[in-house]
Amino acid sequence: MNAVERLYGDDPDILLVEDDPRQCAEFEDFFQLIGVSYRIATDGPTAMRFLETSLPRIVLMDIRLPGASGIEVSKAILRRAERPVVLLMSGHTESVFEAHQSAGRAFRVIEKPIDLRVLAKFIDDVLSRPYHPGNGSGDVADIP
Amino acid sequence: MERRPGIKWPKLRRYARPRAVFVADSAAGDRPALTQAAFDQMSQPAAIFDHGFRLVSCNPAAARLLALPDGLTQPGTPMRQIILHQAAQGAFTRDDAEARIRDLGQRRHVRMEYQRHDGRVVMVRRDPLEGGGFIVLYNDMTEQRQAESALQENERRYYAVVEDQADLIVRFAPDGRITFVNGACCRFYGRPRQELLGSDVLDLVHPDDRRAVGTYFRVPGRPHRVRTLEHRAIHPDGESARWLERSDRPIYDAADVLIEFQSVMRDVTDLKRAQEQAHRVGKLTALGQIVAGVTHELNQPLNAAALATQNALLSMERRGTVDAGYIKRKLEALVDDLLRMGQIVNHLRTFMRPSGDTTAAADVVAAVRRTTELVDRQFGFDAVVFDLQLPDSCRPVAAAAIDIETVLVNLFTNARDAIVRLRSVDGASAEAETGQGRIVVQVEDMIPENEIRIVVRDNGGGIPDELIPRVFDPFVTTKEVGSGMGLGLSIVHQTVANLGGRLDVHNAHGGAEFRVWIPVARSGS
Repeated sequence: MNAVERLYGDDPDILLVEDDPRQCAEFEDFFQLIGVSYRIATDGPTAMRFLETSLPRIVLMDIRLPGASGIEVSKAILRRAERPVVLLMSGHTESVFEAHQSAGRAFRVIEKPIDLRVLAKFIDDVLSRPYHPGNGSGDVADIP
Repeated sequence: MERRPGIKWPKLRRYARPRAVFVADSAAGDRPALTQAAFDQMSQPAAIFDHGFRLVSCNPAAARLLALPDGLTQPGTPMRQIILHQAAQGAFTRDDAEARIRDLGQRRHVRMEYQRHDGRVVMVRRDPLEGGGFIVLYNDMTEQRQAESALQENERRYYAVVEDQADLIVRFAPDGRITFVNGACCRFYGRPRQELLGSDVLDLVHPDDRRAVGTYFRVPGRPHRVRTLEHRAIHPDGESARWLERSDRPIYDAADVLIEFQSVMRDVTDLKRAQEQAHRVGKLTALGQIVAGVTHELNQPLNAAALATQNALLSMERRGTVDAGYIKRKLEALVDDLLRMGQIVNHLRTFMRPSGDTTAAADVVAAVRRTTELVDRQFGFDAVVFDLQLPDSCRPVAAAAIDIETVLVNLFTNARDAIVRLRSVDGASAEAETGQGRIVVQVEDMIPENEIRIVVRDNGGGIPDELIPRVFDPFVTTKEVGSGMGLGLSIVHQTVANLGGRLDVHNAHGGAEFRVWIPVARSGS
């Protein structure tokens, strides 16, 4: 087991950052159905604290969050040497377009309401690739 | 012929001494030389001629003014020679001089004025003396005529300035009778000057505004203080009323009696239309903010519903069987989500119901609760919370709920923006950077006054003192370029004014405090 594999030993596949309990419950059902491990943070600061000690493969995050926005959390993640793939969920992608561009398209955006078939394919795509430190998004395909 | 010592009459008497001179000499008694001395000392240029128009005496002032050579100041010199000398000086042509000479005996009184080659203007006044002869007085009118000419030129300039003004200028007496109008005024009203002069100044005001303008003029104001007022006027095109902004100055005489008003009026219709248009755009912007917030609210249960439905399908697909309990839970969750969406839509429908019912009576407390519920979650993302200090109930106000909610949304948004902006200011205190934004909302039924007072106070640092007098003007903003149109508070001001209410603002408790008073609805409405 190399260092990266060790690092991943206890880390979840996905960190979900979502403050709405109803949506959290449905995402939990979904993750269980597709068989991935996950943790849930309900606000931006909690997510950032979690990421100081853990390195999930994917951070699936709402854009509007109490405490810090999804974009702020994403930018903090992008400054790290080792980072997960970030997928932001938004009700209106136009508002995040500029931030998306300025961050070098280093995070992905998926529109709400979410098509779980698209999300499942994206998760599968990320988890099936080897991890590259410092290139969290790697060559992951764009969300269609 | 009388011979007396005194005046140094020439030896050769070539003239007849006028009786008036004789009388004067007689009055001087034994010293008739006094008469001559007094005559010579007069600053008034003067000459005396006998009945045959021969010079009796010419004082030095006249000789200087007429530039008469010594030869022409000698007694007995015919007036004809003096006239010809003046002609030679350019006072008039030789022909004119001849005509005057021929005319000498025709008129007893002569008044004439001429300008010499050197530009000096001389006035001549010839009157008969009692008992025969004439006295001729000369006056140098040069400076007076120059002053008059300058005055006339000034008047012409002033008139041109007044006439060329695009502004309408009117002067009128305290009883309203118009005493002056400029060309712009005549053109605006499409009426000739003669028709406007003498008419009542209130005729220039739209019938619906005459009462208000009449009241405005009943208190004339302090001397030389200009007051302004906007009112409508009927334009001759008959299509629509035009808006005029008038500035009025009362004019008092030395005894402090009001004698006239001077009014300068400007057609501000286009400006007002542009402002109204901007307000409409601003209202749409406010509406856009509300819609954005509601869209987000709606998207949460919508996404949850979509996820629940897809999970149910995915469950059947992955497990290959139908788990009835799981599907039932998903359907129940789906119903909850749909009902939540229905509540949000109903809420929005209530909020956005149209205004325009002037007899409407709105519950301010309910409006505050609805509006804060609508924006509470959005503001929560910016760590801004509401502190509602509301009575259980208060008398309804004479307004549609949407008007009150428009006022509140704009005041709340302004407060939220100030709080967020304060956090980003360089050198902001740690408390400002990390502290919670707070918007205090108070409602008070101002018994016995027929008003409800709404207070909205934030802890966003307040408004710069220099901006406070203009804070309700359109396009005034402290926000960065591109982040706000500066219309929110202008809309608040206009909406409150339309409701017959009033508002003010001052800085207090580390932020801005807006106070709004809205009249209560009359009972029965």
